[in-house]
Amino acid sequence: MTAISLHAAPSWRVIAVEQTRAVGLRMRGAGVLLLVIQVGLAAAMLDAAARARAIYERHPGRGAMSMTNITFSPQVAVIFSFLALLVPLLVWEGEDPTRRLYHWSMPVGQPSHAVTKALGGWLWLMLAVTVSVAGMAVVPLFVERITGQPQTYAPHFTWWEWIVPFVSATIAYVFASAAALGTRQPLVWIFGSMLIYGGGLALFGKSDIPVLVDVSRAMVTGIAGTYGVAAAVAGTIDQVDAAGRVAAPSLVRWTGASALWGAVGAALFYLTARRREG
Amino acid sequence: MSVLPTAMIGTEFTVATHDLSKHYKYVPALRKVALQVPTGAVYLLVGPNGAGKSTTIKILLDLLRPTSGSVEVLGMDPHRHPALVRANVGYVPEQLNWGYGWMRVGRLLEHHARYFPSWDWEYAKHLSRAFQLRPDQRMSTLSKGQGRRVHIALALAHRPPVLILDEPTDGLDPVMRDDMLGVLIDHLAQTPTTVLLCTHHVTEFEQIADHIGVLRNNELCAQMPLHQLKQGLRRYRAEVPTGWGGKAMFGAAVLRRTTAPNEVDWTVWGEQDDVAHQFASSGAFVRDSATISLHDATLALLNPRETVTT
Amino acid sequence: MLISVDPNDPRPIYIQIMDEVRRALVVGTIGADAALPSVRQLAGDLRINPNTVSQAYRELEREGVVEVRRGQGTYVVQANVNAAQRRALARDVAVRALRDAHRNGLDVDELIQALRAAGLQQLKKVSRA
Repeated sequence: MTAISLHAAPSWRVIAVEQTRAVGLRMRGAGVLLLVIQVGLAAAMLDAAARARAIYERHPGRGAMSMTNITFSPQVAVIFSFLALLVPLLVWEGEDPTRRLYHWSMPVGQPSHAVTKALGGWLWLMLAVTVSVAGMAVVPLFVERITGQPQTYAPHFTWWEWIVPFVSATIAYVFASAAALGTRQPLVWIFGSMLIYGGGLALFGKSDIPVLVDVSRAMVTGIAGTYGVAAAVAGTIDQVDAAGRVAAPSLVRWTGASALWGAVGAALFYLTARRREG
Repeated sequence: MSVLPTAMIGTEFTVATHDLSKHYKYVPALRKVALQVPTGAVYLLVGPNGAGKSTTIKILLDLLRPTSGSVEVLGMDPHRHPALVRANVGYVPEQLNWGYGWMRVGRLLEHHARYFPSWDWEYAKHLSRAFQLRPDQRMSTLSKGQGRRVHIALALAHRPPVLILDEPTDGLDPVMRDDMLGVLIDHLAQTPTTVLLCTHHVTEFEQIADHIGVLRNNELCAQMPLHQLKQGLRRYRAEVPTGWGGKAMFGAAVLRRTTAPNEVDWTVWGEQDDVAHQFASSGAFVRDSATISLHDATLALLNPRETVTT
Repeated sequence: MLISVDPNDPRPIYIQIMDEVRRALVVGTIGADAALPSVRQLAGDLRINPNTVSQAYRELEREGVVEVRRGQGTYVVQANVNAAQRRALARDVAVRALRDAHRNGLDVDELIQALRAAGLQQLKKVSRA
């Protein structure tokens, strides 16, 4: 037999870099848009601070400065998780399960290929969140400079709340990736399930049937309970104790909720990124 | 069932399937198919839509799992070595709506180049010129023919030992088809390649192909070197006595028959001398025995037919 | 030298190529030491499988008509056509004509007579022009 020298399959590193680059190229437009919005917001804040200072200088003692206090709160992570829900739609655009033949026919194992591509999108998402969070950290410093007024954080603010947006965006990204990998209409699935959940909650809550009321309570727990979605997505602030004081955010509760919902998302992702019949 | 040969012996096969069956739910897509593509062959796999051509290809690339039976590509089981098998196959799928529409042609070539370490940029540029590809065009704006040519360039440029082409001329105009054939021939002259080609347009590849397999009703009903088919399947025109009983004599070897009261025009499989002898011994007089075109041969194999004229 | 093949011809393509080379030798469009087109070139021009061209060249080499010079190409060795080769060519033409005659219900004598008559007519036409 004439010995055929086989061509090698590509190395994992080359593929990871290429997927990250390709996904980055795909997301470039959205990234630029996000940056423009951020810069615009920062400019608006600094402008507001400057105006406040001007007013203060003209009318000293009128208290306008307190209006310019900008606080970082992990609740802004809600915005990031909503944005993160949309990112997989871009990453997998045009590649719903019936149109992934090209992706699958590449010389890479199917599941690892899906993971590589998803990781590429995640890296860019993390970059976007980093830039945004950095903006949130830096802009108050400038505001402080302009107004001469110290900027305060939420009560009991602790260091780990800086991580909340990253984790929250990651969880949302994993869920949305599962939807993009497993369904032909991820957008419909993501927002449809949210609507149905919300609608069900509202409907059952008003119901007179005891069972349905119980169901609605369980649904509320799913969102606002100790380990509910809200705790994972937005950290655990705004817990008000019996005396009406704001309680300290709980690291245990936040990590627990994040781990729980992260695991659910990962399981869904695993199911959808598995080998498929093309 | 078939009187035609379905197995080849004494050759090395680069692509082979053994008793390959595939069922979708309860609908059979392939039944005990033993595909044999000899090393270096240009193998034409023909069959009507739904006969199992694309299913076979997908199993070869491990995009589908067979229900039973086994598959071999370059001596490897694609299911155990999916990445390695695909790294050694240039694949042009029939359907081109595979996403990546946002990518520009040039970037897609780059993308592909990273996935295939054996990518030959010099050759890729040559192919781009030959196919008049424009690197700045987005994939989604391309016509079907343009998209097909991008795919053919992608499949050839890493010079794979195996090419699997599913309807490669689909969507190409006659000039593009001719160009594509020229490029493919030039490729074969330079790079030792085994080609598995699925197509409805057999005439286009008649002079390039050297082996043929025919899928009918999800079964392989014939498989042989092309010259064997050309020699063995002939059209006989004979004058016959009234009430001639040749039909029983030839049986399943007659694939197409047009019968008039004293004349027959039959497409018969068999050694020319044997068939002629059989005609003669039954009292018929053979006027003509001619080879038929590949187009007519595949039609006869796929759609045996009887016509009686008066 | 121009080589052409016909997919509808019952002869296999490689035989057609061999016949074309022989024909060129008889007609005199190629002579000794003439280079045949490369396999890649001819396959591309005729839109046929390169292996088919290789096969034709190999057979021609076996018959001593051409020789393959490593790394250079295929060259004609034997330029002068002998009588035997002319006879072989004539026989091929005759067999083809005979097959056609048979299909049309004509026998050998009828064909020969028709050939002679047609030949005479052709001659008259040429001399008139």
